[in-house]
Amino acid sequence: MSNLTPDRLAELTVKALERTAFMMADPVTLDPDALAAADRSAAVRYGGPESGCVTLHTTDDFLRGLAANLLGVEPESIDLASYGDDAIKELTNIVGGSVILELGGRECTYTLGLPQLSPRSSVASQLSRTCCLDCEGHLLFVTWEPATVPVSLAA
Amino acid sequence: MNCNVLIVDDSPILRMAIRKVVRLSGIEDDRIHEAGNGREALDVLETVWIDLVLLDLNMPVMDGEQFAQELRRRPDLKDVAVVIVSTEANKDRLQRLRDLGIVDSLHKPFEPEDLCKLISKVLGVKQ
Repeated sequence: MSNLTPDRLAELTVKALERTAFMMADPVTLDPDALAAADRSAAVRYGGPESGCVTLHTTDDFLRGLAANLLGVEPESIDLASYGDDAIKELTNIVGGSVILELGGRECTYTLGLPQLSPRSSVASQLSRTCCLDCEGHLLFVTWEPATVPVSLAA
Repeated sequence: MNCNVLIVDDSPILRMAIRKVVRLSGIEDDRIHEAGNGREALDVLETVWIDLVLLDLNMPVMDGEQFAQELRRRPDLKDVAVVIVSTEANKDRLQRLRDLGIVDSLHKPFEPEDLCKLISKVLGVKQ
């Protein structure tokens, strides 16, 4: 089974943030209490030679900054009711895409599903597979969870 | 640049972000069109002449591959230039799309400059 360390997961996420939204982020020590306090979560499943799930957890303040950077506007002008869920789902989609490319390489045969908003009920059991990033003062958590049973997500 | 571009992505925020980059490529804002899935994109194509489609793949209702297949079936639309802008990494799926005549692809996350260059290249070739 493939392995993706939290450090590598953090590197992929840092690159995704830089390229997508010009946001700088640094890995920091995971604080489970901060994770539990995240406002929103989204997950995307992948299938192929192996299957699994990538889940992002973060705060509304981070998402306000992400949406503002994507749109080139001031964070104060971002309406989270309109853009919060969309922003976390799209970032989850992009990080998920980076993960399957990392797992599959140039000959990738993995397929990504559609990102979905997610409850945070199962986070506690996945701490060893979670990385934490400080992104311009806001925390972003990313969990990679390989599944034991292969799943096809082919369209 | 007197070209019409259609952005097809189910994420409104990403459509807006891509629109910004397309404007940087020299396309006027009123020549940039948007659709949230393949079905909506076909509706746009039936009413507006489009020179370039920037196409996400993983979308609800009608995904990008289904859209591309439908496009190639229609004599009036089969020559529209399509560039994939997606997280898609599956080599078999990307090959199927190349077989349908997709001109290029850009993997998310991408840098805005990469998309600008791709737009200029594709529309430059067309002009």
